[in-house]
Amino acid sequence: MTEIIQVLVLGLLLGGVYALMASGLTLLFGVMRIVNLAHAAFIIVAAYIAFYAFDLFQIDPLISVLITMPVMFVLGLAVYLPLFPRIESSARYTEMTVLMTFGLALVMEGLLGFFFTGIFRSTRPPYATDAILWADLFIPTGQLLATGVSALLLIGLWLFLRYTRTGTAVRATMQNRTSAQIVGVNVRRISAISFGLGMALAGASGSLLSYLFPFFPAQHWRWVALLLALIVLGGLGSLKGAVIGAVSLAVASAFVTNQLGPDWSPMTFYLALFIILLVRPQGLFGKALRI
Amino acid sequence: MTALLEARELHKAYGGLQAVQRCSFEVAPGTITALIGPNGAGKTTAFDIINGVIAADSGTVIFEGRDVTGFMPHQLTRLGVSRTFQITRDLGEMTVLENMVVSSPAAGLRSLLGSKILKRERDRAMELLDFVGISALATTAAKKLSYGQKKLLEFASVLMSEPKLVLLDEPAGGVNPALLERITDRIRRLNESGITFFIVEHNMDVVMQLSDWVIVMAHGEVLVDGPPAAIQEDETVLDAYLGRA
Amino acid sequence: MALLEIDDVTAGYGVGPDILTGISLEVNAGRSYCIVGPNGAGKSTLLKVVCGILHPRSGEVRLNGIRVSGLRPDQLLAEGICFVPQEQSLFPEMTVRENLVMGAFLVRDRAVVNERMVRVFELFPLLKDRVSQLAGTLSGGEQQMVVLGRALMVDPKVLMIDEPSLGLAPIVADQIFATIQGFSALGITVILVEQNARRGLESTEWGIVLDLGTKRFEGPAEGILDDPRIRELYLGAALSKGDDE
Repeated sequence: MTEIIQVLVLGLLLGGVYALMASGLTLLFGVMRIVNLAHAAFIIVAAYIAFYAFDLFQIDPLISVLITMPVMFVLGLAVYLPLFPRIESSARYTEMTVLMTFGLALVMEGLLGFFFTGIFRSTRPPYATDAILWADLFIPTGQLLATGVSALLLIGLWLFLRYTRTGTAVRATMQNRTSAQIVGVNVRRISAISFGLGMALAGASGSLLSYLFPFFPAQHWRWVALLLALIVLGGLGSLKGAVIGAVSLAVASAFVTNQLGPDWSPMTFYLALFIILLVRPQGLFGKALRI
Repeated sequence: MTALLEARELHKAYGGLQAVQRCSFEVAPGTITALIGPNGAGKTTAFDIINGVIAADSGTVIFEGRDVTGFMPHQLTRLGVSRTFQITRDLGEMTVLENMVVSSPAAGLRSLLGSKILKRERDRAMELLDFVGISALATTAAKKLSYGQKKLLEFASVLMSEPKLVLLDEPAGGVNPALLERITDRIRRLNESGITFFIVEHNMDVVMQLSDWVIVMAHGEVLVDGPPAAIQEDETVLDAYLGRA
Repeated sequence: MALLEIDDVTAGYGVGPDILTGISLEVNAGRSYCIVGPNGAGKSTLLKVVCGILHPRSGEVRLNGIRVSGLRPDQLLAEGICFVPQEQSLFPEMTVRENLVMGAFLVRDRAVVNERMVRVFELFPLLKDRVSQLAGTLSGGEQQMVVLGRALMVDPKVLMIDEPSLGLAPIVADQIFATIQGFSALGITVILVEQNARRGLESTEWGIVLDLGTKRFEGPAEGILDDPRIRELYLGAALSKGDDE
C-alpha cells in the first residue's frame, strides 16, 4: 500500500510542474487560437537564464522565477507583436501558427546551441538532491518545492483571471472573441497580454525545470510532444482541463515507470494522446470540435 | 413522362433541428426547375442530399428510375448528374484550361496512357470555354480571374462530364446584370439541346423568368409547386417568405 | 437632424462583391425600426457597417452629424451604438451576472454598473432568478434575454438587433419581441433585422424594405406588407400572362 501512495506522491509532485507548463500553452490556444510548438523552446530559454543566474550570481532557481517571469513576458511580446497580428485575419490562422512556431522553435534551438553549446546543463541547489522522509514516504524536496511554487502561480493565475478587470477580459476573449469586441474589450491588447502571460508561465516553468531535469538546446522536442498530449487530454483551451490533464498523466506515468521502468514513461503520454483523439477528441473539458 | 429526378420523403436532422422533413418532389426531364424558399427552408440541405454530399436520415433519391440514395458525388457524376458549388472554388494555381480538364471524369488513370485522350478533353474544354465566352483566358491562372469569370469557369467545367442533369447552386449570386444575361442565355440554350437544370436560387426575377417549374420549400417541407406565374400569385408562398404573425 | 444617417454606403466582405450598393437612410432618435427584405438584401451587412465591424467601401455613416464610419466597434460602443449579433454571443462559461457585468465593461464606476444592473433585473425578472447560473446552461429564450439584458447594460442610444427570434419557439419569440417593444419606452432607438417580417414589423413603428443592397421603400410598419411592391420584391417581377408556356 505504501508503495502505491509513494508512486502517487511522486506523480503528483511531477504533475504540479507539468500543469504549470501546460497552462501557458493552453492560454495561448484559448485566447488566440495559437498552437505554440515553440513553447518548450521558450521554457528551455528560461532554464538557461536560471542556470546562468545560479552559476554566475548564485541566485537560487526558485528565486530566479522572479527574474524569468518578467523577462519572458517581455520576450513574449517581442516575439508576438511582429509575427502574429499580421496574419491574424487569415482563415487558416491556427494552421499557420503551427508552421510558424515550428520554425521559431528551430531558430531558438539553433541560437541556444550556438551560444551555450549542447552540453547538458542543470542547476544544483542543495534541495535538488534532498528528500524528506515522512510516514515511510520518500518525498524529494526539490520536487516538493517546485510543486509548491507551481501551485502558488496557478492560484495566482486563477485569481487574476477571476477577479481582475484584465483577467475577466481575457476570459471573455477566450469564450467568445466577437462578443468580447462588442462589449468593448480591446481584443488586440488582450491577445498581446495573454501571449506575454503565457510566456511568463513558461519562464517560471523554465526556472523550475533547471534543477529538476538536465537540459540542452534540443531537449524541447521531448517536452513539446508531452505538452501537446497534456493539453489535448485536458481539452484545448481549457485551463482547468490542462491542470487536471497534467496531474492525471503525471500520476499515470509514475505508475507506468514503477511497473515497467523509466523507458516506458514517455509512452504513457503518447498512448493517452492516441486514445483521447480516438475516443473523445475534445478532451475532458474542451468544447466539442466540429471536424 | 416519368421524372428524371425524384426525391421521396427525405428526412434530415442536425442535432435537435429538423432541416428537412417529408420532402418529396420531382424534376421533369428537359425542364429548368427551380427550388426556392425563405432562409432556413432546407433548400441547401435538400440539394446536398440530392448531390450526394450529405446523407439523408431516411428517404430515397431516384435518378432515371434508378435508386441512387447515398451515392457519392463522383458516382452521380458518372451517371450524368453534375453540380456547381456556391462558393467559387478553383484550383488557383492551375490555368483555366487545366481546371476544365481536371473536372472531366475521363481525366484520371487513363490520362496516364497518353496525350491522345487528353487532346480530346482539351478540345472539349476549349469548346466549352468558348461557349461561355472565356476562351481567351484559357492559359490564365485561375486565381487571376475576376469573380464573374470564375463563375463562368465553374459553369463551363460542370458541363465537361456531358451531364443529363445539371444542379446549379445560386448561379446568379453576386453576378452583375450583363454577366447574368450571359449565364441565363447559356442555360436556356443548353436546355434547348436537352439538358435538364435544377436550380437553387434567391434572385426571384431570374427564377421566374428562367424556370418552367418552381418548387417552394418552407420549414423543411415542400409547400407547393407549379409554373412560375401560379407561384407568384400563391398567397401561401408570400406568407412563407414574410413569416407568420 | 436625424440621429443616424447612412449616406450612399457601399460595402462588401473581403474581396467579394458589393453587398450594399449605395444605400441611404435616416434613423430618428427614440423610434423603432424594422429592416426587412428578401435574402441577400444586405440587412445584416447594414447593421455590421453601422456598428463598425465592417467598414464601408464608399459613403459615410454619421451619428448626430459627425462621421463615425471607420471607427472600431469598441469606439462606437462608447458612442452608444450597440449591436446584438445573430450568432451566439454570450460568454457561456460565465454566470448570468458576469455576462451582464461584461456588458458594462467600459464603465469604470461600480455604482453606475450596479444601478444599471438593477434596471435590467426590473425589466427581466427571470434573469434575477438565474443570476448565478452559467449562461451556457440556459435555454435558447433565456440566453437571448441575457444577451438583450447585457445590451441594456451598455445604456445604448441605438440598439441594433440581428434576428432576435432566430431559433426560438413562437411563444418564446413573443416574449422577446414584447421586451424589445419595452426598450422603445425607455427612449432607446431600436433597429431590428428580422427574417420573420410580419413579427418584426408588428413590434416596431417604421419599416424599411431593402433589396439587393439598397433601400426600396419605407413607411409605417403597420400595413407596409400590404404594399403591392412587396410581392414583386419577394417573388420577382410579375410575369405577364402571355410569357409562360
